[in-house]
Formats: sequence, structure tokens, C-alpha cells
Amino acid sequence: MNHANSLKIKNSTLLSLLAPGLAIYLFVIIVPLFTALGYSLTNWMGGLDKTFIGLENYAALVKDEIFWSSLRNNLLIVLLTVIIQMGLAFLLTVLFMSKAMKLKEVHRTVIFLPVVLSAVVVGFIWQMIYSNDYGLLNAILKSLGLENLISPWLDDPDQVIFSVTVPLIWQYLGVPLIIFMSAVQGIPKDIYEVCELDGVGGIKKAVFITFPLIYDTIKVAIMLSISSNMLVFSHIYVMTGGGPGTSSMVLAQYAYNTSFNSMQLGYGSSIAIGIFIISFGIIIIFKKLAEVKQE
Amino acid sequence: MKSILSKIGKYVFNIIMIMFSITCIFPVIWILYSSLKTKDEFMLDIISLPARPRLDNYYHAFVEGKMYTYFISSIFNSFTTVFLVILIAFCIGYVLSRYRFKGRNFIYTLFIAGMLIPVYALIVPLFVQFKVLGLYDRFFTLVIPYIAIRLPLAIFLFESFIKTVPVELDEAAYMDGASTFFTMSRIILPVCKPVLSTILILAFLDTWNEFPFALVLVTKEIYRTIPVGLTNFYGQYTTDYTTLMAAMVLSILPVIIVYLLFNKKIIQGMTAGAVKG
Amino acid sequence: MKRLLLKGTCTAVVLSVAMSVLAGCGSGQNAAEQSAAAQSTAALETPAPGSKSEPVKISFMDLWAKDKAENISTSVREALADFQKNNADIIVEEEAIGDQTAYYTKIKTLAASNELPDIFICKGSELAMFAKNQAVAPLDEILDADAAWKEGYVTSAFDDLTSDGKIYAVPYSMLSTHVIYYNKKILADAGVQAFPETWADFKTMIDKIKAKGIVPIALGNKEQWVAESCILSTLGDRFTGPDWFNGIKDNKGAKFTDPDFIKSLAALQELGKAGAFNKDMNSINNDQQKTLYFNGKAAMFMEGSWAIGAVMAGPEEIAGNTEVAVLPSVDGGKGDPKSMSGGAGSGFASGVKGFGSKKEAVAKVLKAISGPEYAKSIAEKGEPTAYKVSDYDKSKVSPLAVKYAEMASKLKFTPIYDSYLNPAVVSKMNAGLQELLISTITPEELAKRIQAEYEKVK
Repeated sequence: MNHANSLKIKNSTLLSLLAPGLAIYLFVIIVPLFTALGYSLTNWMGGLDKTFIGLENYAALVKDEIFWSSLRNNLLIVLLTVIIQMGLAFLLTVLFMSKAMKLKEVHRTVIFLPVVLSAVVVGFIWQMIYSNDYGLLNAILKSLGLENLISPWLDDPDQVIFSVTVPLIWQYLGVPLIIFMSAVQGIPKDIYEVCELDGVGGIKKAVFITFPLIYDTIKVAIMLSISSNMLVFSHIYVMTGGGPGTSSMVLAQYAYNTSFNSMQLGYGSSIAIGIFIISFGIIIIFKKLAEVKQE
Repeated sequence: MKSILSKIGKYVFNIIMIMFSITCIFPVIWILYSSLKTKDEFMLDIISLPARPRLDNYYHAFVEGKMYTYFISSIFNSFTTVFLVILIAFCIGYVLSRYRFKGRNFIYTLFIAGMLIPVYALIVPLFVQFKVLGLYDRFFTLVIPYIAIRLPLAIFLFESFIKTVPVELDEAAYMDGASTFFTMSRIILPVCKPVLSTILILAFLDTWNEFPFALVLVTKEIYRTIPVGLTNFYGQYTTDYTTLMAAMVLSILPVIIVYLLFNKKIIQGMTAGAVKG
Repeated sequence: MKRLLLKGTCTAVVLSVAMSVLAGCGSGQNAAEQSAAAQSTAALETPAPGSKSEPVKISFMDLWAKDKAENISTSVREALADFQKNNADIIVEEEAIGDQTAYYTKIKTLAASNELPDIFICKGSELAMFAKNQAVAPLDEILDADAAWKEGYVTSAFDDLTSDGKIYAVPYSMLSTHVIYYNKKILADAGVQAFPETWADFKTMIDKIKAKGIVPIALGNKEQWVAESCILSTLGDRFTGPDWFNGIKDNKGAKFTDPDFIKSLAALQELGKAGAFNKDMNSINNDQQKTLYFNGKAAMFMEGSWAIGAVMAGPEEIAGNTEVAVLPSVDGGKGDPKSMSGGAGSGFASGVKGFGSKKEAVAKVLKAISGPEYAKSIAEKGEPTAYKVSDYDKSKVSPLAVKYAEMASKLKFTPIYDSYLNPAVVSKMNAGLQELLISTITPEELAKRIQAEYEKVK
């Protein structure tokens, strides 16, 4: 914070740099958000009358089983992603630093590539992978003689949430990877050289040097992952539509269904605001926890 | 002996790495070559390579599905959005990371909070705003929300990157009498290349693939974007998988091209940073 | 400096708020005033009234993909093109969104801001909701003004499109949502000569087909409406009879927890438990269920009469062996086994805003796209019409369509659940049926859940 003190800027310059972005952002995001907040205090069903009902929608939300089971699904996705995707990305980052690895550019390009696909395409691909009759996964299992592992991936309510998380981990693995890798580039080379002279092994190097040095970046990547996975919707919608029943339903889809299928726009808005508040809370809690850990 | 072992270890390690990368890319490769098969060929064996690759499916998708009509609007929206997002987000990111002023944290939080809002919650209120102000169904309509929803991530990335750039660079420039704009555009922006490429790719692909705003805020056929245009296609060909795949490949091709173009830039930027470090 | 910055931020905030306040006010009554004002200025600018008036623009939204080679959509588009030729003073601007979910997302956004198109396709259940919200216009006025037109429709065609005694849409076809398409060869191979007439025989048939290693009924219920619209609407009626549903519809004491309805849920679950459906029924859609049938991997599938065209376009040896039937009678059922769920289902409705100012033009277009000529054109393609047509060229009608017509002439229509029930109830029911089919919920629990939602939105 102290570094900024020596820099000076004219008020008018500061203003001209901030104003255009702020104006468009307020107009498109903040104002509609407040309108939605307003809706959430009414029983609006899309018609002419919007009766103010105070916090009734929120009271109903607290008791809404589907809301909580959807939240649980979101949290599960967040947790799995943070552990598996971040872990894998960190492991890869460490491996990328090794001199033994060839074709680094190719690997990185390839691992990041799925990030650019659209949710519809990814959903479609994985639907085909999981498909019962034509499925890639079942075909591979069969050819490996592992028929007993074949299962209705998207039809079993107990495992469907795991099945739909895998594509998310796969698709976005490249994001934390490039974030970590650019952070690693910033670590002075001599630190590692000193380590090598001291005979510190690869694993120790990763745990005691790389990890702490890019810890702040890891936090950033985890926060990005939390925010995007709390809002995840289209991928799962394409694969299962939230089913069977509501076993792969996530919050954003529940808000969408309530507002646009049942047209309970008042209640739907309260779900959306609920998602916003909970996500915000999770991010703040994570920030607090992550800071404590560092000390 | 030890060196032979480590050599073997190296090979094994590289082979495992290559296998891992192939697993990552295989679904994409699979959709690519499957789109060259006939429907019956695909149904018979979904893994095998096409016996005789054919472009019929592409013809179906591009010409009969009239996908080309949606490319113009998608390209216009994506390019305009990416350019403006980078411009606006860089200005804000720079200011937020370099200056402390009253309201700075508030503005930062305001933008970051934007990453936590479910888009569908904004659709109805935004539609009303656009309709009443006469912004509905114009050629520039979609660019407005696209810029706004891309800003939070872009600002976040710029801000956290510029924070790592030594402030001495700016200070030295000011000492030499450079203006704020000069320092920003000539000194800091070039240093931001790696993050700029990341933002460019992410903003481009998110805009290219965006659906809800494109569905609701425009009506005329010429303003429609590829994702909305594709719903027409999906509706008709739900089980003609190979044609569907061709349409999907067409729809993601521009993004992949942009990615491959700027992908190199990320590497260059990163190695440049490494050399300096 | 701080103050200046704050001022700047304030300006941005004020600007945005002002814009949206403007927007907020405009959404209600003011919008009407504004448009009225706009019209009056337009009138002022026109030199003399009556001298070559501006053509009326009619916005028209549908969910048929452009260039879709499907009977109804092509006939509607032909009718529109003809209409344009003869009516230069009316311009119909069509917007097609070929995906149901996307279409209704947009329609509901428009409805919420009272900006529905002048003419648009709408399902019965959504229509009732829009009618309650006064977002769509009752069409009785224009229908009554042209008695010959109104009386031309099949009487029951308006049932799905009527709310509180007022007609809110004109039908463009009659459809059944429940037809069993079965492969007579597979049935014969399994030792079933004629389609079963009783529930017990039906179950025996399922077992026999299953023993052959073939999926008895292909089901693609990923989008959740198939099990409810194409199976339960008819199966339910077999048990409950139509009185029960009327009681539900009119809030006259009938409950989803009534034993008869629970029995129908139990019967559906029984089929699921007996392995009558493919294992991935909840992750494939209705098009993929047909693929299963076309590949000879399934003996039958249940879908609406709209699937006739798709079956005829399927592999020849499958299409040639396809017969149509409906569910058999059930023991102690109160419903008439000679019935299937059906009706108009959807119709052309009119947004209240556009209807107010362009009534005559809307009436003309509606007549063109649902009236006698249009009906004749779809009848010749073998589609069941909502408008009475007596003589038309039957030569092009497909054999399966003939079989269907023959069967349909002996059956009555019973209500399609999702044409009448509130969308919130429908979505509870539909999601629950997925669970029912894989037995993660009991019929009683599901009935309770639906009833609770029903009472909530009543």
C-alpha cells in the first residue's frame, strides 16, 4: 500500500480513467441487481401486480430443500475442483519446471485448449462419453475387459454429481495451470540453484519453496474457481438437465428454473440474491482462513 | 548405472506426460475426426477413425444450416468487446493497483462482486432498461452487456498483475516528466503482455460463446450470434450426431484460432519476464 | 481530489440510476402512454389521414427452426407467404427460435415486461398463466365478430386454450401426446400376436420382450416432459377418470394424494422396476429414444402424434413394421380405455399491447395461419387438424398417418397434464417422475410433493 504514495495523479485523469467503466458496469450489472433485489421482496409471478411481502421469500428459501441440496452440489463441485484440479495444476507446474520434461510448449497448449470450448460443446462431448450405448467410456472399459465397472454414469443419483464434475475439472485445468506457471516464472532462479547445491530434492523443493512462494497466486486461482463453480449451470444443464430428479441440480439452474419455468420471478430473484450472498460469504471466509494459515 | 536409470526414468516420465496430454486433448480430437464420418459409420463404432473422411457434414452445417449468417455478428461483437474490455479494464486495473484514494476499496469490491452474480437474475430488469431506452435490437446492443460482464475478471487480473510490476518503473517515468497516459500506455502496458493475452483469450471465448443476452436482447436475424443460431440447428439435428459435431467444430474454430495465435504471445511474455527476473 | 473523485463516482451512479428509474417507470402504464404519444406524433407528421397509410407491422414468434422440413411449420410459412402477397398493408415479421427452452425463456422475459409479440405460439399452461397476468389478450371479440371462422374449428380444440371462460389463442393443430409406436415384428418374435388389451397382458408382454434381450419401451426423459406428457397423462386417466382431473383443474377438492392418482404413479413405477425402460432413460431425450427404436434395440416408444413423420423418415424396415396403439385398460380404473391424452396443446396467442392497437390485422393473420386453407394444407400432409376440413387430397398421406387417423377416430381425448397445470406444479411433477422411475422415491411421497406445490400456487 505504501508504494503508491509517491505516485501522483490529477483528479480529472483519475476520473476519466474510472468513469466509463463504472458507468457501463453500474448500468448493466449493479442497477439490475438492485432491481432483482427489489423483485425478491415481492411475490411477483410475472404479471401486473407485485405485492411487497418483505422477507417472506427468504424465509421460504431457508426452508427450501431443493435450495439446500443444490447448494450442497455446488459445494461438492467447488471442493472437488479445488482439491483435484488445483492439486493437479500444482503438480503439473512443478513438473513443468523439471529439465527432464520435453515438449513443454506443446503440453501447455494442449492442456489449456479445452478452456476455449463452449459449455454446450463440452456438455455434448461428455454426454457422448458417458452414453450408455455409444459411450466412449463404456467402450474403453469394455475393450480393457473392465465390464464390471460399467455403470449408468448420468442416471445414478448417487454418482451423477461426480460424473458432471469431471468435465468441469477437465475443461478448466488449464486456467490454474497458466496462472501458477506465470507465478513460478517470477520466482528468482538463484533460489533453486542454491537448493540444488544444498541437495534439496524435488518434492521438498515443491513443498517448501515453490508452494509458499506462489501461495498468493494459488489463493487467487482458488477464489476464481469458487466464484465460477458457484455459478456453474450450462454444462450440467446440457448433460443431465439437473436430473435424475434434482440430484444434479445446482443453484444457478434452480434460480433459472424458478424464474423462467415456473415464472415465480420474485422467488427466483431471492434465490439469485441468496447465491450471491452465499458465494460472497464463502469467498470472505476463504480469504480469512487462507490468511490465518499463512501466519 | 545411475545415469542409465535416470535416463530410463526420464523417458518413462515423458511418456506418462504425453499420455496425460493426449487424454486431455482426446475429446477434442475425437469430435474433430468424428465430424468427418457418416452418421452410420459413427453409430457402428464411435471410436474408430473415419474410413474415408468427408466434408458432407460441414456442408450441411455451414450451407444448409446457414451458419455463415451468424458469423458476422459474432465476429463484430467479440472483437469490439475484447478491444473495449481491455482498454477499460486496463485503465481501471492500473488506477486501482497504483493509487490509494477514498472509495478505492469500494470500487474494487464492487467490480469483484460482479463475478458472483447469476446472469439470469439480470435478464428481466436489463431487458426493461434496454427496451425503454431504445437500446433493444440494435447492432451495438450486445456489446454493452458483454463489456460489463467481462470487466470484473479482466480488472481482477490486470490489478493483481500490475501489483507485481515494480512501482519504480512508474516513478522513473514520472521523474523524466512522462504523463500518466504515457506511463500507462508505453511503460506498463507492454509489461502486461502475458496477462493481456490471457484476458484477451478469456474475454474473446466468453463473448463468442455467450447465450442468454444474445437470446433476449436482439431479435433481428442479422444481429443473432452463433450460439443462438445454433439452437435452430440443434433443434433439427438432435440425433444426427456427426452433423452436430461439424456445426460445433465450426462454432469453436474461430476461438481455437484466436487461442493458437495468442498462445505464443503468452509464452513469449512469460519467458521475457523470466529472463528479466 | 477525493471530493472530485467522489463527485465523479456520484455522477456515474446518478446517471445509471436515472436511466433505470426511467426504465422502471416506463415498464408500466407509462410505456403505453409513451407509445400513444409516439403514435400521435406520427399521426401529426402524416400529411393527411387516409392517404396511403403506413403498413401495419405484426411481430410473430415461433419455435420452428428456419427451414425446418416439418409439416406444420412449412404450412404456416406457406400460408404467411401467401398472405403477404395479398395484403401489402400488413407486414409480418417472423422471429424463429428453434429450441423450446430458449424460446420460452425469451417469451417469459417478454411477458414479464409486458412486451409479448403481436402473435406467438404458446402452450396451454403458460397461456393460462399469461392470461392471469393480463399479458395476453382474450380473442373472443375477434372470433365472435367472424362467426363462420370461429365455428369452423373443432369444438374441443379451444379447451386447452381457454382460461376463465375466455379464449386466449387459436389452435393450429390437434395432437395426441400419447401414442405407442411399436414394432410388430419384435412383438411377434417375442410371442405377442396382438397388442395387449389389459394391464396384466401388457406386463406379460414387457417380460417376454425383455427375455429376448430387447428394451421393451425406449424412454428419453432427460427433458422431463416425456414421462408426464406422453405416458402419465394417459396412464393417470386410466385410473382416475376425467372427473378427477377436472376437480384438480378447477380446484374442486380433488387432490394429487387421492388413491387413484397414487395408483397410477405406482403402476408407472412398477414398469420401471420391471425393467420396461432403457437404463439411461433420464439422460437421453425424446429424439434419442427414437434412435433406440430405429436401431431395433427397443420394441416400442411412447410419444405424441407429432412423431409419425419422424418414424416414417426412419429406417424402412422399422417404419414398415410400426403399428400404433394406446395403453390398455387397468383393473378398477375409472377412466375410459378408449382414450388418449390430447388436444390442441398450443395455439397462436396475442400480446395484449399489440392486440390493443392492431386488432384487425392480428385477426387477419391469425385466420390465415390457422383457418380453412391452412388446415387443408396440413390435412393433405396427414396432420390432424383443429379446423374442420371435409374434402382434401388424401393421396400423399403416409400409411402410418392413416393408421393413426383410424385409431384416433375411435378414441376420445383426455386432458394433457402440462396443458392445464401451473408450470410450477408441472416442474415438480416432472422432476419427481424421474426419481419415481428409478425408485428413489415412493408414489406416496411424490404425490405429497406435487400436492404441496399445487396448494402453494393455487
